[in-house]
Amino acid sequence: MDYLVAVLLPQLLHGLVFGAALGLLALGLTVIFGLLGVMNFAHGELYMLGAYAGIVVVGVTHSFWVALIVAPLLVGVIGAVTEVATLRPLYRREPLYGLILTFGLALAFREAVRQIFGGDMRRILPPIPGSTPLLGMTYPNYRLFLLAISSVLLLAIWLFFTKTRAGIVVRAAVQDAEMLDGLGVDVPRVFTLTFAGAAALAAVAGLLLAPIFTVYPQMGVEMILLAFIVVILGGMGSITGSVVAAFIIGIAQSLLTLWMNPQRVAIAIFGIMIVVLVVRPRGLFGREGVLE
Amino acid sequence: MLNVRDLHAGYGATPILFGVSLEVREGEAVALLGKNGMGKTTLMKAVMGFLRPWSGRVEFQGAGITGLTPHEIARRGVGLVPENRRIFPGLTVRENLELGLSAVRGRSAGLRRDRLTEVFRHFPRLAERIDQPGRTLSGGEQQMLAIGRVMMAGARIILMDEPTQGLAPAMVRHIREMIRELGRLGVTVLLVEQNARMALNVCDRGYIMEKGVIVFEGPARELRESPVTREKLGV
Repeated sequence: MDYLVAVLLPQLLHGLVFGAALGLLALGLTVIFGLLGVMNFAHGELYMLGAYAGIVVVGVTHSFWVALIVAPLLVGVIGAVTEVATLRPLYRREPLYGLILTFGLALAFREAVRQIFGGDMRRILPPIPGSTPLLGMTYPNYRLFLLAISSVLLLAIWLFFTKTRAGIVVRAAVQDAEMLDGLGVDVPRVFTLTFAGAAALAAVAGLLLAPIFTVYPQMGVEMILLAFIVVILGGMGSITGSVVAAFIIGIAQSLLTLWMNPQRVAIAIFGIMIVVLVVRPRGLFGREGVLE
Repeated sequence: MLNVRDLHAGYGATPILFGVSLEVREGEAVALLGKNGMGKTTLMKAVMGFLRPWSGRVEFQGAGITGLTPHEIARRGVGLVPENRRIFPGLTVRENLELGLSAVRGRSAGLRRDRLTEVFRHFPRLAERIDQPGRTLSGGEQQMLAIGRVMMAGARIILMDEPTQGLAPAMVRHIREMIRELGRLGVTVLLVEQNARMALNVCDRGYIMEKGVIVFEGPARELRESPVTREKLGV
């Protein structure tokens, strides 16, 4: 019982917190995959840019909350410009071109940040200090806030995709972009805005996790690997799948660290992915036709 | 209303259309016939803007639409009921139909309601399936949905690519009646069909396409009786 309260429960909560933030990252990734037909390798760098944009805005305004609004907007604009300038010319080519391009973008963003900010580890202080007694343990307030805001955002995104016309348009673009264009929707604009939105979401995740993790130019690399696993596990292109899988991976990662060192955890996470793919090759929620 | 002049187009370096010219006048239903692989679908794609023509000209209501994007062409009143229907499988019937409104500027709630009512009047089956995902519909129902989608758009001309492909005879009759009904509603139709007998039954005129060019044209009655039709189409 002591073990449960002192060790297992906090770790489980950590997992939920991390899973929710990972969900924000993976959601954007899976939607972009649906549109482009390739994984966006630069997604981890957009996450990283969110944290750095946050540092800049906090430096200027001394407010984490202002940064939480402004940083995603900045990264969203970077995303939109990137899409128009680099990805758009490649849409009519083989998906492989997009893959190589996003890989190059990732390197460019990472090195640009290293040039501007240096390679040092940086921190953002949690904007909400203190802890709260919870179920017999004490838990940091900021993490509770993180869980709450991520959940609210995930819910808002779900409502966007199911209840709003814009959300339905994005889903239709994932399913058949050319046909959607033929119905009168300006699909290139949908692509740009979706890319901007996914970039902003990645930035939100980067900034929200910054007070828990450290900020450095490589921070996106580790996260993007996990986000890829989440997207594959959830079923590539599946919105629901990526959220469910994000929580599974978040919780699995947290609980496994109790018994294993980090390298073995990484192996175990890949193990979970392999088992799921063997049993369900399209992932948990993948549907026929997404990959073809 | 729709004027295609000397259109050349193809995929990659492979030419498919070698100077196609045809005309569809307002209020007409025109059949475009030909065996598989003769370029009928390619012509549809080139008119819709899915494929950029290499040369030649497409005019709609007197204005050039060659090289415009599909959404610009759709917004001018061209509706496509494509080969294989291409409804959105993960979206419900309602969502599919509402996307049809995308071509309309200034979508009001009233217009949306009126158009939905109109579509359901012709296709009551869609009303029964309104909250089902497109993928759960039968082939015939998907075809109704694809037609309903362009009715939502209020398209002035509808390009239909093999709407009866793979459908049961009863459903073929239903679609045939629907094409007649579209004519009564004042919608112009360009119909690509394998089922030449059906197409010539509902259309006013017809063209026969072979290897990327028009080889024969005439009133439907003439095509029905002409030996050329039998020779070119094997019917």
